[in-house]
Amino acid sequence: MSSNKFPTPTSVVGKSVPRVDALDKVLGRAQFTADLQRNFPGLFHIKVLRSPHAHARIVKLDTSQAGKLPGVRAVVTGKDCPEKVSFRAPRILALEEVIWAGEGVAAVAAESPEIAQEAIELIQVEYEKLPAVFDAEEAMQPNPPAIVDRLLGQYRGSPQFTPEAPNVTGHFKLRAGDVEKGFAEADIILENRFSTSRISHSQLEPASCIVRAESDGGIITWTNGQGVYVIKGLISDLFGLAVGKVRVINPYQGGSFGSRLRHYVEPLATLLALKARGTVQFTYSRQEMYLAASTRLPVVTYIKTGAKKDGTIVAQQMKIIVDNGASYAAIQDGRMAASGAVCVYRIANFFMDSYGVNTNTPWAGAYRGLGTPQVAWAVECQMDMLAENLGMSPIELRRKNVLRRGEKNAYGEIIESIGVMDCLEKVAQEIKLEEPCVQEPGPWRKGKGVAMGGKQNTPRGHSEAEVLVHEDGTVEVLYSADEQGMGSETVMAQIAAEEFRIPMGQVRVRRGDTAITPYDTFSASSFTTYNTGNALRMACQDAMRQILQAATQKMEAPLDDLALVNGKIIVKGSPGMALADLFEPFSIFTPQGGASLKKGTPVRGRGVFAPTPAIPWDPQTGLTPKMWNWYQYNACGVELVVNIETGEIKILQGVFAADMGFPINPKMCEGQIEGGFGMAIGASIMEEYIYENGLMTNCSYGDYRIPTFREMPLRRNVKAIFSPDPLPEGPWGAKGIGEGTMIAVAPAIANAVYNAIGIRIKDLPLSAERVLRRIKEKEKNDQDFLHN
Amino acid sequence: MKQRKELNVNGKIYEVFVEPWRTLLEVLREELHLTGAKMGCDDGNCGACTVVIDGKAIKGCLMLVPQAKGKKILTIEGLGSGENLHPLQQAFIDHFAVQCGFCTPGMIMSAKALLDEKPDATEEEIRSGLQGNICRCTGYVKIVEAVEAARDKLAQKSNPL
Repeated sequence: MSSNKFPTPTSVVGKSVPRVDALDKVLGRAQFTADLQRNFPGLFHIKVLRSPHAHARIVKLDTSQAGKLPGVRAVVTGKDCPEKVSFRAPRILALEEVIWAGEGVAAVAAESPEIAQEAIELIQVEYEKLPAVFDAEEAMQPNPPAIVDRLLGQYRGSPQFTPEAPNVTGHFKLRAGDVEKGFAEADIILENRFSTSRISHSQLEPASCIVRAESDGGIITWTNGQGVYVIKGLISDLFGLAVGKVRVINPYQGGSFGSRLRHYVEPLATLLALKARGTVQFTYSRQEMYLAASTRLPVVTYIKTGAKKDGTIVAQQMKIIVDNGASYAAIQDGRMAASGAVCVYRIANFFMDSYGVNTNTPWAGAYRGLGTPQVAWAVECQMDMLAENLGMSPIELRRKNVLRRGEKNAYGEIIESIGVMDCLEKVAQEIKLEEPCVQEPGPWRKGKGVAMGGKQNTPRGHSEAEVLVHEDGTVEVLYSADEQGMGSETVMAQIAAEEFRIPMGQVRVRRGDTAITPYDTFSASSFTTYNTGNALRMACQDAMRQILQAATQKMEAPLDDLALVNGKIIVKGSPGMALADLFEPFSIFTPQGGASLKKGTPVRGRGVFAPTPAIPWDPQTGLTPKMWNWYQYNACGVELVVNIETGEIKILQGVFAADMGFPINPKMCEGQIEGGFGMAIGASIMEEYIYENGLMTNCSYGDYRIPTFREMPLRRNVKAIFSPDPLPEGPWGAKGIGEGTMIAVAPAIANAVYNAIGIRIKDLPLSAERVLRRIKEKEKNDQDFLHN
Repeated sequence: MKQRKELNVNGKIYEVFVEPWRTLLEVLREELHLTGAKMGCDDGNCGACTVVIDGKAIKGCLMLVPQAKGKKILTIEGLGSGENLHPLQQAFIDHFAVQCGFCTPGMIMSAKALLDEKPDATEEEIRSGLQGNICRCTGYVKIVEAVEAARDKLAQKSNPL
């Protein structure tokens, strides 16, 4: 689909060119949202009073003392909030009941953060505690111990909301083939239950925004939330503001991993900016990032697998329970999480139910893979357990059942691009899975394990891109997808440089301002390279067409003979002309509005890309020829040691292979792999919310430990491998990579722990406490066995 | 009550008029408009606010302004310029040690203090020395690589043979 007829060896796509944002970032000059506060003297600062109770009725709420404190500009409660509730954001403030410990009850805007805090402490609240439910399996029962919020289902307009199961927000069914017949044919049936903990994105930069109420009733928002146009729509909708008077600007974002896809600071800041008739800033504390930002969906998975002696899986039944927490903004039916069980293996008889459930715990949502790592955790542990039961190697079992290109998965989709088995073969080879570990004396036991997985790309989004081609050959790229660290600005610059055959230094990226850059959805589902990248290619080609059209007259050559290469118009059999010579100076003696190109007025190319839509599935069977778009795949192998005296795990080696399609920037793809691997080590062996009566007690970086340098293997022991199966409609065959890089890690670690100490742990995280408890249990059981 | 305080930052003397309970981080960012040091947690755990004070890596959120009296403070803004990058800054670019960039200034300042003290720091020493700086994006692999590359570059400079 390359527009350029004369390819040259100067191409930049596929090369590890340096990141375009790196210089600003190493100089400390890159601007993040909070860095802009210095531009607003007279800024008001927001603080929020939050509920200590997981579920309580607000009996009395008195803000009068707070309002009287000098320096306080505005105080709001749930009664001041718009009645409208959006699924894109949690409720702004609680109204009659608080539904999780950490929910906002009242908020203050004041001249300094200290005054705002003092005012918060003057607010008097009386709560009447109500029964709360923290466990999703209890919450989903017909008569649950508590109803999280009677209005949740109605707010969302969820068609599956029923008063009989008031905490169930949705139910997805997959009914492929005949599962009873399949189990009847099975030689072996294995049933297990797996679970994952609630974890925090813990991106380094807390949620932050600045909102300026303009004199004409409009607002300008600078925010690190994702999706400037989505925020624009949300704010104008919630507050009934004219769309044309809401402008959203997006500085650099200090990580997201899905956290910023739901907008938890912008609505409250807008409410207070409008009330204060000024400019406000709202930045979450780290504690608030744990209590009242998004979290990862805890998932319980029941899995029953039937296989023949030769390893062929003949039936699988699953029940997947996704805990949304106290969410107004969750993924309703667990369908996305459940997709992790469908996209890797050929399972003709598949019976699956997934449920979304509300509980009185901090709200949950998208988190690097949107539920698929939690479900793959169950599937990939189950595969190793099945392999052992069958006396097969885990590789052989997976090889036997893996989907191959051109085959149909259980939804009925034909798979176009799947490199997962190659990923696993390479990982197994690299980690020498077949060679047993050599044990050393002492308490540390060595083990190896592997796993694989896939992540669907949701066919969502509408991406527009523009390019401004200037007379000197420089190109400005305008787009609105996010830059939360994954390198979208660099990828877009590479694409434009490639299309125009110009050096990277001649491209300048302008991103994320609804008054300047064209529409995009947000960066999610690993689709920025694919969605926005495709739109940008079209924009480049559009500009190129306009330039070459203008050149046809000057060059007296047909359009088909012309090409633009590095600022020069090339024509077959002629020396060509400089791009600059196409641009004429303005003169009062020539038509200044004519069709020719004019100096100082760039050629503006525009591109629009949207993925092919999904085809609605049968609600009774979940079957459809197109549920998702494409799939990225991956595999991981680890070697680790477990300390049998302390339960501690150390990862010695990590090998990770990814099928991300064509890598536009290989070093940045490596960075995604290493980063996903590191993040997954946290999710696998360290991270979990610890509660007391539903209130998280470890809400700081000091108590909620995320991986540091020390938890990573030595640098030479981390290896990233590419095993791409290019996707024809992706830019140069690219798919995406960001989310897949966590999926296979946790099960690979659990499989390695089993290999090391013979203990199968089915609940995440494999914290030292949990591992040690299981070691002690096993020791006791072994002794009991000997004594009996 | 606000007090007049002198701060020596990046070789310049600044006079600020602030409450004595202000943290160095707040004053750098809000009074001197040096926003390279970031606030990630405000309790000394993330390291995004690290600056170098009299040769030691110090978390700006853990030091109150009066404690900085008479000390030489170096922030990321004083380390190198666009034309003349410090080898650590160059290595972070060359080795893709930057993703979202929020931890980057603090990470570089910690690494600077480490390499000044131990010019031949091993990988193990780099991992220990930087463990107070958290990065959620990179998995640290390329950061270690960059610090090692800067270490080697600095060694070449000090010993041109």
